[in-house]
Amino acid sequence: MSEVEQASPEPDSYVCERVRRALAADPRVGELGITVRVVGRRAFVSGSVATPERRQAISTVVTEVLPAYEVQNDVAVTPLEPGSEIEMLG
Amino acid sequence: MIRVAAVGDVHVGADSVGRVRPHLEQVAGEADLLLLAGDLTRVGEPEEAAVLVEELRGADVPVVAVLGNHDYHAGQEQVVAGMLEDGGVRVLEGEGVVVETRSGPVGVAGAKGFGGGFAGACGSDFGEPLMKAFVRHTRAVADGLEKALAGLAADVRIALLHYAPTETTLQGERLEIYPFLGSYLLGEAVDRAGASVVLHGHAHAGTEKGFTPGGIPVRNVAQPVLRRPYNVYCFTAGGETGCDGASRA
Repeated sequence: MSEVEQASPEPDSYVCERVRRALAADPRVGELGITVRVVGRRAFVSGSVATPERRQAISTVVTEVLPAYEVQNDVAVTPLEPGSEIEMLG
Repeated sequence: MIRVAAVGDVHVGADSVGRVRPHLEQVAGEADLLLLAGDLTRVGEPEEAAVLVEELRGADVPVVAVLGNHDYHAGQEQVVAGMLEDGGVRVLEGEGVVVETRSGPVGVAGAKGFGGGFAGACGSDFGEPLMKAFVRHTRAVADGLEKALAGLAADVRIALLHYAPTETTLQGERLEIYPFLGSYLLGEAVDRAGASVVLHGHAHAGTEKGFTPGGIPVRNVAQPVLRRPYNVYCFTAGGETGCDGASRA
């Protein structure tokens, strides 16, 4: 009986896309523009979202998808400077 | 002078209660009209649209909007659009409206738009049915936009989109995703029909200022790009010149 070949560890690029899919699909987040990077057993997420609650939800979802990873959440809440810029166009 | 405030990608959710309205309470002092360039909600749930409608009550000017891809995600886009309309927001998809503002008429032709890419690196109406459907959808949206723009009887005519009509406002985005951010067909439609400006969102990592291949100004008003509640674009009406100051940052 031949020995069954052991599956290779999941490549980091697939891990990252698994997280990105979850961040888009999970109703607590629903974000497409989050960058995910994996180095060893650490996951780094970055980008920007509209609210602090959504930033926190990203940490929750990534931890659920990758329970064995340490999550570094570098996502920013979009800062809004006061006032508007005014431009003459025509 | 007609002053038009614009912003896109506000991504309102249940956690946005009370966060948008304070900014919008100033808009009536700065602009005659507010345009919203899609991705108004987080994932297009009616509960999010309800929050948005309440937040928009702070804006004491006419509001015209298009939806974005996020507003379609829950499959409730018709409900979302209906709730916004009931809340006093004119939601456009392949149609135009002339808004009689206190400073004069402004024509707005609106459509969500779609992807496909830009000249030299874009999808073609060729091959598998799904690929043809993708490209044909963008072409149909662009045709609708062109007709809507051409039908606007106003000196100031604005094309309001979610997706980008040019790559010039995508600088900063990854080149690989340009086909998902917009289509040259939208820019071509605007260049054929003519417009004072094109306003769009969707490209959070892009840049604000660009132009169509025909030279029409394009502004990416995605809030993560503006980093402000909205920006204001001014147009002369009846021979007026000048804009109220430069920047009130």
